[in-house]
Amino acid sequence: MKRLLLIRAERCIRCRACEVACAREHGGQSRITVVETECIAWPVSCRHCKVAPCIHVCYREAIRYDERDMVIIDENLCTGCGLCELACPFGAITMVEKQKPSKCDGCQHLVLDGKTPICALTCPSGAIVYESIEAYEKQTRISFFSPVR
Amino acid sequence: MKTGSKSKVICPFCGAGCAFFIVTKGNSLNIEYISDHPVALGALCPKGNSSISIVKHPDRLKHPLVKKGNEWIELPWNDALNLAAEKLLDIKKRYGADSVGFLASARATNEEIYLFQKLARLFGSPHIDHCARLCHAPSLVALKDMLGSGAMTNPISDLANSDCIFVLGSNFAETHPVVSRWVWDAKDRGAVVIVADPRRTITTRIADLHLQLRSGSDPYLLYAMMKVIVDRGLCDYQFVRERTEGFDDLYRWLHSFDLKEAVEFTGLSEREIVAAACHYAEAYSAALIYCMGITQHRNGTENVRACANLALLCGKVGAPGSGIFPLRGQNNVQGACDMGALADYLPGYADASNHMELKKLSRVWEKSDLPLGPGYTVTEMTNASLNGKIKAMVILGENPVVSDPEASGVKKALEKLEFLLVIDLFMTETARYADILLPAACWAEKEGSYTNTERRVQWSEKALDPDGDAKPDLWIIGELGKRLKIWGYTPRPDEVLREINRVVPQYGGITPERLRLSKNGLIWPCQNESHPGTPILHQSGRFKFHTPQFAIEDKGKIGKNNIFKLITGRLVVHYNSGSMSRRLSELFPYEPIASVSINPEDAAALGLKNGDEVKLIGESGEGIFQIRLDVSVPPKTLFLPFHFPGVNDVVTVGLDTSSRTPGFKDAECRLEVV
Repeated sequence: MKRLLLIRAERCIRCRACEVACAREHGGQSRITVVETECIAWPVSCRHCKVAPCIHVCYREAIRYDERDMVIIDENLCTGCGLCELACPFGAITMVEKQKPSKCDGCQHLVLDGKTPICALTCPSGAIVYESIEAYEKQTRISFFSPVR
Repeated sequence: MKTGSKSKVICPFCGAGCAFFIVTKGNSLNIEYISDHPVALGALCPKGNSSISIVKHPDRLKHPLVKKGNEWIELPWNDALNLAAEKLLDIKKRYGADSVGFLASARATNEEIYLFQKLARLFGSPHIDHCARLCHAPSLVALKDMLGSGAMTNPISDLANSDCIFVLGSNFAETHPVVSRWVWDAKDRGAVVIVADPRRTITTRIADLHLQLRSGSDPYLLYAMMKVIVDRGLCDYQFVRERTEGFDDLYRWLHSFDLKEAVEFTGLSEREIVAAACHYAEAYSAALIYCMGITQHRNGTENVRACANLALLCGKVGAPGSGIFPLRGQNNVQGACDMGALADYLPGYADASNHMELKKLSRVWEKSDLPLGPGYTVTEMTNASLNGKIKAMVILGENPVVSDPEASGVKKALEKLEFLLVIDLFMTETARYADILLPAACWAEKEGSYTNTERRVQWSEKALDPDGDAKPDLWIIGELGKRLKIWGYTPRPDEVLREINRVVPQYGGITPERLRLSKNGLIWPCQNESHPGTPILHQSGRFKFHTPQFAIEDKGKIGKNNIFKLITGRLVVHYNSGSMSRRLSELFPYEPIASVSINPEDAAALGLKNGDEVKLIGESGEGIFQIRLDVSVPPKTLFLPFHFPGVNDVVTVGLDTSSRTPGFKDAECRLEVV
């Protein structure tokens, strides 16, 4: 079963372990951001949309799906126009130095070796999980009935 | 070290004891997670994730330094150690051995701490202590007396088996982030989480029931719950009858306890207290987590005793998911207590004021007339220096200038010392007062064992060689002892651990060979080599109830003349005195300054906006801080993170009488607009 990076937002304790770990793994620039309001916090990174606005707006076709259906950016084709940053509905793409977009690539270098993405490995509260949609849904169904004892 | 090595190390920050691999490739370091590690399934908080940056940090001390006038002069190791030994021997000759105070580190290995307290006691000084005095000394005194052991009773992961988790005075989602995973797992199973905290914290978001009690009213809450439990007959009578003593006295005391008055004092409604009591008592298994919010009070020991009374009354001890969880703050503070780096306990919690125990120890150490305890504690040591009773101090990796209350007094005390030897990684606020400063190797540059909050003893491997001239603490202590003519040679970690096996009964079977081979470490008590370790304590045995004797001084000053209740606490991205976390570029930008949180209503009344500066005036010092409007803080209360220098200048507090822990959480201060 295909595994994805999924978020259990209620679990996030806004500790920012994911940001620190992601920055370490990806040369100092974190591709995940923890958003916090007064009552809830959650980590935001690329959702790897099935119909991805960033792919549609990229006139150089620098953004594409890889073999795992992850949305990735080909830096050689990118011109740094910044349209993808504006198009992303989650604000998950940020322009970094030299006007290049930076976004989550699902830890390609680890996943291709059969490992887990770094943010899911490091999350202390289990808010970021790397599992199949089916497993996630099953867990949701179970915890929905948890108050019934 | 060879290139491309992979070594298992223990995280150098909090007491959870997470492990990870350090992968070295040439000059670069990286972390590899151990996703089957029992503490948190390999997860690391932001501090753990940035810990490898400490190893190659440019601020690290590289050479022994000696202060001449106002200048630091680099010296070779041999000269620096000879000079230190000469000064210490001179002071011993002039004022006696008990004029030297020793402060151990709660982040050194068990072997280093054991050797350090052995050095202090063989030198002839009973004044050895470490920072457990500032946090969980009340737990040690109270739980040892009532249950027989002052440590956490169950592993952290066992929280997932609880049906009710009652959290008192702990913000574990911020201080021990990995604990929250197990609490959430329990919640997913249907557990009820109750959090008692005066503030609305990130932990209270997990809670089903948040008891926003008045700061310092914890014993009233606990005894009110017990009265509800007794009145409704929800006690575990079989447990009380078979496994405890002293219930009758407690029962009589509870009979005369006024529930209405207590409820009023806590600022909660009776319904909330009844709900909490019923959830806790009726759950099949229930865990009680507590932390500094319980212990750092003038009646800290009484608070812990109240926690234990509640757990015993409901029989929630000694079963999977049922236990008392005092979360410890440093990665080896449990080990430092076990090793006897305490003013009142010898290794293995033998009483330091008992002649028989000293005699036993003197047989192993082959030296008679060991100094009789109890010695001065951390805070008493600085006072003794001001009185002229302590003339010299040896501080191993502690930063009392930032971490102790009344910091201005600590600075004066350190200035007054004739000789101060500091062993540390960085030029800390305390190290500036040193006469000799020795550079220590950090945790990844040495090997040894660490004991985490669950009593799990784990071996940490050496990942790389230290930069510059820095040396492991064990070598430094060993060489210093050699020059003080205490022992003849510097031992290796294995040899020290073997001596610990003989001296500390709980560590009897935790040999270096077993520890190196075991994947998940060993949990003490582990008396002999065939013992598998004891993850859950108190599955048998008898316990004692405590008849309460507490009184809370309510000076009634709070709320008048701009006097605020001051709560100090932790932030997730910083660690204790901040000597490590404030230097890390990964963590520092998140919280660069100590800003004081204030309720928006109070701020509006004073005409203050976010970012304005205010002056906080305590009894013995004052400081200027930026304010942050925060609805999570109740009215007439301020919250200040204690990781920054200057914060503890404002804090002036009394000591808990039984454990001599300063009551940090009792502080009050006056707020002035500048």
